[in-house]
Amino acid sequence: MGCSPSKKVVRAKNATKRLRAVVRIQTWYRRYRANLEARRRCTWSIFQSLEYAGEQDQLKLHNFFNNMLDSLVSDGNSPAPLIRAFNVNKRASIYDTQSMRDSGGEMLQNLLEGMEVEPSYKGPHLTFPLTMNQLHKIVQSFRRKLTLHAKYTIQLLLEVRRILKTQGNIRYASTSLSKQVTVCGDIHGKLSDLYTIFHKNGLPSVNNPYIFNGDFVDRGQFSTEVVIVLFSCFVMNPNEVYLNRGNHEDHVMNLRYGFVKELQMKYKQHSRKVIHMFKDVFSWLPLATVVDDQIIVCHGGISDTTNLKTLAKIDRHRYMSTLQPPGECEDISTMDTQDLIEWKQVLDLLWSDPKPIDGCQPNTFRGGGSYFGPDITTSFLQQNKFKLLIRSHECKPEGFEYTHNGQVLTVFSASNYYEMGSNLGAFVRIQGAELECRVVQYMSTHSPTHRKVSFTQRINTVEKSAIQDLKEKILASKHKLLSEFKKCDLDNSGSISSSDWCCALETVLEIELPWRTLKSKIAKCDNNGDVQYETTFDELEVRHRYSGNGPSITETLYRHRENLETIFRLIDTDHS
Amino acid sequence: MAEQLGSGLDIEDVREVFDLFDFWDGRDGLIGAEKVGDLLRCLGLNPTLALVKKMGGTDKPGEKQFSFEEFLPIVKSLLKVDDIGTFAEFCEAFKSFDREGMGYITAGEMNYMLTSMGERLTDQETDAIMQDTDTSPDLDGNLKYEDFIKKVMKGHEWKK
Repeated sequence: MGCSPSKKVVRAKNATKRLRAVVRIQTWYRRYRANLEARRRCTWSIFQSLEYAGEQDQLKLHNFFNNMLDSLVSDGNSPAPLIRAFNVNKRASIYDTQSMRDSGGEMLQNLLEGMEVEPSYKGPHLTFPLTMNQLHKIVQSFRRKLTLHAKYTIQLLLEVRRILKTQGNIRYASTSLSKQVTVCGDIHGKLSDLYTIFHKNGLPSVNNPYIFNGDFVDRGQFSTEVVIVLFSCFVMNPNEVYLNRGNHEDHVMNLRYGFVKELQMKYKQHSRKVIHMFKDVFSWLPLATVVDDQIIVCHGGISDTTNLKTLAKIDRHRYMSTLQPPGECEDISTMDTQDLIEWKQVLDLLWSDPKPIDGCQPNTFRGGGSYFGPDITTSFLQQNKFKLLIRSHECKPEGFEYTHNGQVLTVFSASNYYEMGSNLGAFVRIQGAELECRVVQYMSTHSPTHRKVSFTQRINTVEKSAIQDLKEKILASKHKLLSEFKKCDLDNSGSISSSDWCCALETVLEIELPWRTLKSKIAKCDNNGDVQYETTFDELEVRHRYSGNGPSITETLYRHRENLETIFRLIDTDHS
Repeated sequence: MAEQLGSGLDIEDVREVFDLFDFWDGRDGLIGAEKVGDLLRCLGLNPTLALVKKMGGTDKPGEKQFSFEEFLPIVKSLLKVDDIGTFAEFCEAFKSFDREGMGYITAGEMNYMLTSMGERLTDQETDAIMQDTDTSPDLDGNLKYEDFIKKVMKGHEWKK
């Protein structure tokens, strides 16, 4: 009897103990999750920084050409053919621009002259107008790893060009008939993702209109197939398929990011002509699409100067590459003011990124376009009586993201973009009278073994891949980095402080990353937090071993490898 | 040598984590109060949700922002009370369900415990715990909770 109240007390004590223990486990879990999320974001930053650092170079590439040309002229002797190549290239583009306006594609028609389809060709033989049946044949032949013959490819591109020329810079879509429209973001040559979208959402048709928001090519292995499928859908439904130009529908970008290389590989002796056609057709792609006068869809974003009236009037075809000044201009400093204004309008639409801070700044991360804040979005939407801006251009872990208080929707359709498991892809269905946006996500998997991976394992894999990529970049600048490190190592101990290490990396590599957080993943540290800087270069060896004091040719070449490849490819297209 | 705050943490570590979150947040030197909990967790601290709220954290974005100077005192005060718990303390959670005292509970009971008591987790989160600690019930549907706790304590530590 006397036991009863104390039993209650004991029970109460136990209950409290238990509750506290449960909370401990839950708290542990939340900490664990927070750390995982931090790692994921770090990894993401690495991938994005490396990606954009590359693209930023493109803007400098134009000036690089001019400089290289100067130095070659002063050199004298053998590089003459090189100079001629550059001049030929420049002249060719001027020539093209004029001929386009003059003879409406007849010059291009000549590309088909003498092109025969050899009997050994196993792919489909296209006839125009294109039918759904033929699209099926095209897809089947892609499954068998065949390339559509250059003749049919060029014919398709000529047809695309003919139709695009009749369309304005800004297209206007209406859901009055179909009651809905689907918007897809970057595809970047991921054919499996395109098929996934069509599988989930149906092929484009009168009742199933689509807006493809740019970046169909580059990076992925099947850019050619993606763009052919998209263009085929377009010629069959020119009023229901809307193709917006992305920053990768651009000759200079294609030279560097894989599309031109892929075309050379797949079209072999005909590749020059095919490349030339794509270069032209891309410049005819419209810049934006407006849905029901309420939703604007464009690839990058806007800036504080974006003006649809101005954009509607420009001659978009002058921009073979949005990275080069339009038309015949050779030197930016001599550009006409009107041209500069127009160029900025186009750059902003295709290269900008939304940021959480108010205001508008130049997009230094990318090297072109702007960073635009929520206030810019609000005033732009208000001015034009829009309710939403849909854009792409940035990879998102969930395939989509709302920012600026729901005024901006980013949609990205290439899943596993950085690495298997790095992100989902998504598309948006705009439905009903209220134009409600419903997002559909997916991840295209090639092998069934990838499906049962836990979140942690995915993060581990993706993180390892990112660090690997980052280390490659670090190794390419080893010499410069070592000298920076040694400058800080006053007592020659082999270790420097964290801040010195971070500073050196950011200065030499010119990439902004959370270096302090990444420190332990890249190099070994002492007990007091100092970095043993030589270990920064561990675990990854470039193929060639080098010796000697200065940065070897190999190291320099490796660092500029991508730039050099691009240049050689540019020369090659006019020289071969 | 950077100012030591306790538990092997120095002011530079706090700076680093703050900058990390700020990096994604627009780099304006301010971080939303709804991130305070995660910030502390990335520093290796283990505040409960209740404690985070008490320290000024919020649930939703847009209500309050913290600068580094405002955040540092929170870290300092939490360092004084923080403890993750001992092995025995974790076991207390399970003992009451372990009627036979053999060291096993059912997966269902584990799930119930984590989703209906204390600072509740969702079913999704408990599934993730199982997956990430590689814990699965035996043929009878039982889990050996000591193993589970050992894994939790070993943890997938982020740094240090």
